[in-house]
Amino acid sequence: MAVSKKGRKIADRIKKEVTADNARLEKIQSVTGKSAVVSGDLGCSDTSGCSVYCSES
Amino acid sequence: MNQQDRKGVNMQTRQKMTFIILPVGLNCNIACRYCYHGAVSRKTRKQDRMSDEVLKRIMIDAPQFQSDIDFLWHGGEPLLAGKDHFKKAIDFQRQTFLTGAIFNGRVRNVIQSNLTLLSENLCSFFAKNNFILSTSIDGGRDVHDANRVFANGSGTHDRVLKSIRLWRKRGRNIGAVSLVTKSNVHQAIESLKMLKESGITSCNFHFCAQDESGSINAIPTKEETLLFFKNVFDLWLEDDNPDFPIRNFRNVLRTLCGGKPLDCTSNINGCYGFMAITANGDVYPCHRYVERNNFRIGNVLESSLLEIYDRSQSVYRNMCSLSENCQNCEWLNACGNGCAFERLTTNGSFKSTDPECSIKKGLFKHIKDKVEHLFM
Repeated sequence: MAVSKKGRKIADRIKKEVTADNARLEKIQSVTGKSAVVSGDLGCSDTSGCSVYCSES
Repeated sequence: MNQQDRKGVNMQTRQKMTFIILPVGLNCNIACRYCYHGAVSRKTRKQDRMSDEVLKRIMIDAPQFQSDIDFLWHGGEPLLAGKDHFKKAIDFQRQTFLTGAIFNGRVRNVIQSNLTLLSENLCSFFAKNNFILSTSIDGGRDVHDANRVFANGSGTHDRVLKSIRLWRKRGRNIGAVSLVTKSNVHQAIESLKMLKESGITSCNFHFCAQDESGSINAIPTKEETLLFFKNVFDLWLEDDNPDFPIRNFRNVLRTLCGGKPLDCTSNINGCYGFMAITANGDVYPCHRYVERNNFRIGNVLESSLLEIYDRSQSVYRNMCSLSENCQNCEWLNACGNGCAFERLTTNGSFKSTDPECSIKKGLFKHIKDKVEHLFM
């Protein structure tokens, strides 16, 4: 049976995001010399589709 | 202790610090039937509004954290504070961040609002100043208005939709929190369709949590909730549209390829990146603890935010406690043991398992089985 490709576009986008995020974390750690705690956004809000504006702010 | 010494207090640094600002405390103009703050809806009094002195103190102290910073306006309903409050906040930020020599992080302003008070004028101001908006919408009118109502019992759905359109007309994205309740738990297809049609551009589904009085009756069974999540995930996967992200699912997919989840409740030690400040300057580790005196960790008019944060590390450590079951769980990196506050209020202890553990385990396995091959 052929392997389903459903979700391929979503998976590709997420892989790109994670690669970029991990590179950013490594940079923080190399600058500060400390391991970085990741908290993310507040659970009681959703800004996950608004990242396009982050660099503008 | 000077600034350099203070940086050395912790062996870890933070990727981002979020200051949750409650400019009118827990006051709200609507009375949701499932509100975890007890559905308080009353006229905002003068003493409930954040003073300029407190607001300015926050903006002076925040750059000392030397990480990316989010100012997240929350409540209650933060728009009750009025445009002038937000204008002053931006002015103070310009004074303290742009002229500060020590700060080189990114600053975002985020508002979590029910949007029933969003005017054309306020909308223009937020757009012009690059605010990020997040709202709450539970689906179509019947589903949403079953719980999200004004004090007189009338629904808020139409007003929220009008505000979303107002914001989207300016080409801006908007996220939404959507609760899974008895009203939508059997309508996975319809709920997802209505959320997309509402104009929101991303969402996160929340479990409807019980309050300490046990008075919330909108909570579906765990079996119903799990089935809802599985059905929505399957539809989302079928759609395969990365421009409509759903955070619950992205969190799991991110961990399948070596990433971290996107929110505090899904990250181990997630609580460390937050401080909540109320109208009178009182500080709590998170907005969920506001008005609980045993979690009041200081006041910005008495100590700086960084001093309060540093001396409260044991509080954060306690909140992030993991039970033995969790330490050995294969899903820990995707789950993070959920919200500390909900563990405390449901189980009586931080060092306990997430009340939604069984639902999450079922969902994580379902997702992994469906998509693991895409991440090989």
